[in-house]
Amino acid sequence: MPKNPISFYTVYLYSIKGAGINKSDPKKSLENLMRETGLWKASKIDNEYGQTVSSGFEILDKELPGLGWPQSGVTEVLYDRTGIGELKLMMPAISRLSRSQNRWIALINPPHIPYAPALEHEGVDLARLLIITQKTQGDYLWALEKSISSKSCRAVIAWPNQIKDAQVRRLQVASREGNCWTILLRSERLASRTSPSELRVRLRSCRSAESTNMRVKILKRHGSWQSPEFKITLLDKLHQKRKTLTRKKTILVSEEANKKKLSLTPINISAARQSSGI
Amino acid sequence: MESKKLWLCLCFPNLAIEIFTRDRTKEAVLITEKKIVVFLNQEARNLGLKPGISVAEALTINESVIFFERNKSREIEKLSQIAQWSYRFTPNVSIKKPKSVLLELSGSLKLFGGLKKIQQEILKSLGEKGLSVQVGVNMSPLSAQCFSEANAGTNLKDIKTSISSIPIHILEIEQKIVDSLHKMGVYNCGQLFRLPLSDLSRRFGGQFTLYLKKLIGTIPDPQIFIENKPYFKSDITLIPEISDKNSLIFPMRRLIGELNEFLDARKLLTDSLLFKISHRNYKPKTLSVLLAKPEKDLRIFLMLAKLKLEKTDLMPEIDNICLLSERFSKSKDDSGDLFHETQFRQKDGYFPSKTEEKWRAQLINMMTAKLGPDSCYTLSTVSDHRPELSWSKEQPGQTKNPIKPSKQMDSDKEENPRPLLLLKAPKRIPEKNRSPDSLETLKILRGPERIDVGWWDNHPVARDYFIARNSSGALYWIYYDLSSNKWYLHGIFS
Repeated sequence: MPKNPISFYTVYLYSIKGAGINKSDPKKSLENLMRETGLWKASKIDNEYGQTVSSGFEILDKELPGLGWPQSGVTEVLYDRTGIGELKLMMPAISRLSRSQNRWIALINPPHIPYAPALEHEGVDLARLLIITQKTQGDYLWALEKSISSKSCRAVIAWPNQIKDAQVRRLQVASREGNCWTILLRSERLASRTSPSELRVRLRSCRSAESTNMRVKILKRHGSWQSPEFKITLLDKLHQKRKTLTRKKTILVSEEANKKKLSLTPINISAARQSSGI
Repeated sequence: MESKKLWLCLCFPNLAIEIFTRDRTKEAVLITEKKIVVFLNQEARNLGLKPGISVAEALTINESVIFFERNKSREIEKLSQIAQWSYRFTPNVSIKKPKSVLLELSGSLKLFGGLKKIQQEILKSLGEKGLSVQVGVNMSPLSAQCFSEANAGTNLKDIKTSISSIPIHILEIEQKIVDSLHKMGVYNCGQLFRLPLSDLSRRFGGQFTLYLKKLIGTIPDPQIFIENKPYFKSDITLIPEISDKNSLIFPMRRLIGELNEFLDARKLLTDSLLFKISHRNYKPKTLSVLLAKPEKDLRIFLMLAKLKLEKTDLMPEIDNICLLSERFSKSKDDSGDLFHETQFRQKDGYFPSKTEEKWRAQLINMMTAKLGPDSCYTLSTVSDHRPELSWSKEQPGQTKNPIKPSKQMDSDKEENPRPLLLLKAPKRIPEKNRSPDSLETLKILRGPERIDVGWWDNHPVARDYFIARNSSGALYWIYYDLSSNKWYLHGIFS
């Protein structure tokens, strides 16, 4: 890489509209420019990047081809267990897509209820979030492929249990045709197997119970090898505020209980659990 | 004076048969009235059958013929359908029972590029519908009707001379009068009009001369024009019966094509189609196709109807399919697509929002047609503290005005984050079991958040919510139920 990447460009930054030009930090504005217009560096001439959308995590953006999540094609997210923040990781991009474009964000057969208040808090436009449910595996694949190729979906998120490579390949073709970002949330056990999807990301929780970090590794991407494993912090405020907050809350709850003269046992139990850290 | 009007009459000589045999058939078809054959098609004629013979006679001549009892009400219904269809050419359409439809065209000639063009278009479309038609054009309603019945073509000059060669039995007069005129040696209208009208009036009565005066246009003949009712019904009788679902698609396509014409002519859109599929021996089945947004696009209708058909079990035999549609809305713009549906991206790389709106509705249509009406929904938030009641399902596309959360609420959410996935029903957490999700392995990160509401309605909730992490790093939203003293898993910070 050249020391000063700016010397490689003959793009007049101010001539391109709406690319988030930041006069004070030309390097940053170049990154924005590349992300939003599909420009690429001459050193990566072999890669076909479409437009991308920022993931909202700087460290992840740097590793993703085109400096962000792709806008089409199949992205496989392999995660070791539900609840490590696998959806949360996609949320900044999803919320941005839901607000910036007039197309559906479709969730196909989500395993649980997508919880509207939380989604709204993430900034997702709920009117654009479509949930499609079906009963049989045949209908499931049909709905998945149709919504991907319909051109009416900006992104499709699915949790396929049993899906064959040939079917993933079909979805890959459909998502190019429908210009739709297809996210398949699958089990981490598949990480060692090959897959026709063009971007594969492995997510693992940090085993220590204290941290809310997530270990991310890009297993497959265009134009580059696997990435090293790196950490992303989700729900970072959870720990910072914990001490002050919980104490205040516990007091509040017990005061309230005293006021209402409720039976004290449940409070005691919860307070006890709280202090012993179970 | 009436002379400036131009009347076109469509006469359907085989209407009684063609309501049953819209699909051109190679079978000999007979229409009977009280066991006597009254109408028959060319195939039946070729077998040597004639009107007036009895059913038994016909069967002895050839036993493969098909009989239908004459259905006059269906004939009238068909005429009114044709009249509704003709509404595209002129608002002045009148039904002439038993088998004609009359159109007043003087105001439409310029728009459609002349009488010839209109005639061609009418003949072509009616031919496609499987109807044989005779067209007559003249300067008065009755003369046009005579012309069509005699298949005499077009006259744009003097009525009296034009009808001179029309035989008098075609006129709508009593058989008695026709007979006595024949006895007098009067066989066509030319001979009739050579007689003085006052003498004819004395001999055959005022009604008769009134009719003649109307015929030649010396006195006005006001017509009752149909009202344009937005209601579509059309059906196809299938000869022979079909048993295969897939062969239903062809008649369906034709019905949908007719609906599309109907909508086009009136600048209407519809959001519901109803197919009635029946056989005389079985209970009829209805197939309703509902759309998320009113449409008139033939291909969308057909695709949805096909999807619906795949999902429906039909009777083993089908002999009639009928398409009904009565819910319409006005089409806002009808300029069509200059580039025949080629979609161009705009400067910013996106498609025009209207196109995207169409695509969005189309996806919903497709999904609901195949997977059922409840298969697609969007979400909305409800202002309720109980987690399971603070969201609801919404019909997709019906956007509510988003309620902007207050800043107070926002900071509250920051302190008490909500999980992205909520369990359909809270799950008991085992207290002792050594599984990764038992209470012993969970580490509480934040809480409690007391939610104690709803005692005033049927769904009281008294819970302390916590955020907890299990030993393998999954983040859960759990609660301690204050009434049952048990722990539950309610959400996952996915």
